[in-house]
Amino acid sequence: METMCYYIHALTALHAGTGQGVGVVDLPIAREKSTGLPIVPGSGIKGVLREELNPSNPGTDDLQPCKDEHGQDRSAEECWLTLFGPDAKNVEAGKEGSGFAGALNIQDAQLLCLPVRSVYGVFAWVTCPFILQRYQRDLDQVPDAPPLPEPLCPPDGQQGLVTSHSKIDEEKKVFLEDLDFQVTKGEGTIDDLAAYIAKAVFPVDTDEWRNTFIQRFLIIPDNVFSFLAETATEVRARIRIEPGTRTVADGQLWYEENLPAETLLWGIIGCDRSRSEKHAGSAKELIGHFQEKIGTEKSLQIGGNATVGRGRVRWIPGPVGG
Amino acid sequence: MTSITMKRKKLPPTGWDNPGLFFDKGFQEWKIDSGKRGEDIASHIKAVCDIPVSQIYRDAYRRWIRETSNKASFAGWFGQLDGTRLFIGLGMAHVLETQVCRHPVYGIPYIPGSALKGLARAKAKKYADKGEYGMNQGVVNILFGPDCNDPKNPDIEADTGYLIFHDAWWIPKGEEGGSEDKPYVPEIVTVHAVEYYKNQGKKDAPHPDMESPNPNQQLAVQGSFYFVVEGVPQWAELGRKFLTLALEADGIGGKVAAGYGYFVEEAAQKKKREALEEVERERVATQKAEEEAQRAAEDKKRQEKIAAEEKTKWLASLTLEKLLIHELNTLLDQHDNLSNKLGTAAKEIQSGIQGQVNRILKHNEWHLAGNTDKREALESIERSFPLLLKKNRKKKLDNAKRLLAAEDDE
Repeated sequence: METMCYYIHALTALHAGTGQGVGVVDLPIAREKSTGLPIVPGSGIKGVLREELNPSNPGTDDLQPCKDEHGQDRSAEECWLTLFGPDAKNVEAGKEGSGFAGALNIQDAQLLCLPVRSVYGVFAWVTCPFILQRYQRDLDQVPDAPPLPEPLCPPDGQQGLVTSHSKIDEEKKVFLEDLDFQVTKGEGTIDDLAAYIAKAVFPVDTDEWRNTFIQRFLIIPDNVFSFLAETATEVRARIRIEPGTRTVADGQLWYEENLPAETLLWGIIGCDRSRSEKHAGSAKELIGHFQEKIGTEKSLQIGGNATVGRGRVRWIPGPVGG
Repeated sequence: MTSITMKRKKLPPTGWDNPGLFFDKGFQEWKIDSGKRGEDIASHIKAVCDIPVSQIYRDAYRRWIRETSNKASFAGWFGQLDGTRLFIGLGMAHVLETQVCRHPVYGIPYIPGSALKGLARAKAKKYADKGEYGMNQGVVNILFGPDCNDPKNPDIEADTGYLIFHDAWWIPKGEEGGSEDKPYVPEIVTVHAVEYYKNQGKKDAPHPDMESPNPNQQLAVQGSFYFVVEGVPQWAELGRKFLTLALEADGIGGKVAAGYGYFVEEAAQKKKREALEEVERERVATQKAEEEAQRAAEDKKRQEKIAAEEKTKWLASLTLEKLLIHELNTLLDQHDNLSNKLGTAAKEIQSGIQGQVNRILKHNEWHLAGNTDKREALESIERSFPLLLKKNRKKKLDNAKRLLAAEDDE
């Protein structure tokens, strides 16, 4: 099994939903059962990547045929099916031979940093020790990824850690939404941690986004973060207007939850050996093809409500390992 | 279990970078009994309006422009509020009894894609009903998705619309199309005769003139927005057209009936877009003209070929005299052309030929002519135009002469 890391940077509100909810929000976002932290399910990401790399799509002419271990050409289509697996419908119809699982396994994207409005610096990219520890554990699966600096734990209570270059603090205080934090500046590995994430999410540094991130990085205790992850997501009211009267149609007001723009997530992609009968291929070879095809950074649409502009993200592949 | 402290002792009174957050949380003190509630709200709103746009929003805006600058899948439009202001999200609940749709992170106003999609859809539907712009309900359904709540079409199946309507981003001054560096502006909406309208129709309704007007402090938006529709070029352009027609004519947001929320295209951007469109139009026109010229040339060739074939057939079907008349006329035409160049000498030859032709033409009602005339005409032709009488013409002529001779013998 080969592994690589990927990141998602939301440019617009991102609605990876569950379909329905019983609370105030009619259409909540998907969350991890055990922690309540927002996730973007891997299935949704796999579908988008599968479509993005579909060789029969217009605009994918640049997809080159792959070469297998013996230097034999393999069609782009065949390579694509090996990576993502054939369409069950086509298999049933006998178009694509017998079914097999795709070599890639794309895991859920997990919340890395949540943007929360701040009195100073407009907003902060907030995370917590629990998330950083999990992030570190995932990165450990990717041996080629540089090791994450040791995650930090701010003291309990409403205390936080910011970088030496922070722009969100004033007199050792950070004010977010309804919460105040006493912060320590530039302690321990905080600068390195911020720089690590900044480099991973902004591999090509345009408009100094790396600095922008480092200036707004904030680590707060797990329990406070959990509260923010529950309450600081974006909830949008939607209505349907009755065309005749131009008023809201009866009962047509609903609330949708989104991950706000600027949310950062990370996830892991595993790659196994080929399970296709047509050709064998090692995990290393296949993940190489995948990386070659995906390139550096993709502009993708993930999640629901696409036609009203939701879910435009930067999808950034991280380093590979094995 | 540790508790989270949400009661704040003191918030910084100034230096807020996020106007949205300041609007929501920065209201310092509510002096309930002071009787100055309106003034307090007004001064808070004014402070919100004094916060200039942040650098990070500017960066995010530039990134968005880059993200959507690919002409192959995005149709953009820079709209400026036409001497008016915008109320968007006015109806949402807020403790200050005014509200504006603003970005949950940057705190800068935006216009939701869902509102823009609804607006454009309504416009497109109007054109479809009238059959204008080549629109019909089918196209509306494809572009925007069908209306599953339409009582007229209860069985229609849900489908995603094709076009993507992105949120409109507020343009900061200094960026293309931007005119302001502060997005918010205080506005007063004054309600008159509240009690009168509340109790209308009731006996004890107070006279409207007895009430004091009730001015309300509101937060409005000024400046310009960047709108963008995503899809394949022609369709995205069509969506943009409906959207912008609606933004110009119908307005968006609250209080459009009172003149709020109307946009015009930002002048410089309009010029730029029109110049680009002109280039595109010219390119299309040139391409079309070239294609047409090619098609015309092919048509001409084909027609010439058909004409030549038909002529050959026609000539073969002619009786001798008609054939001769035809060829003499052709010769004459050619000679006309020639004589224009050669002058008088040629004209004399021409008149000679003309005389011969006239003689024959006199007999073009061949069957009515007498045999003598016929013979004379044939002989004159034989004499004057030996070159014309070759092969089957000569045969036809001889044949004709033989027939005449035979008739004479009878």
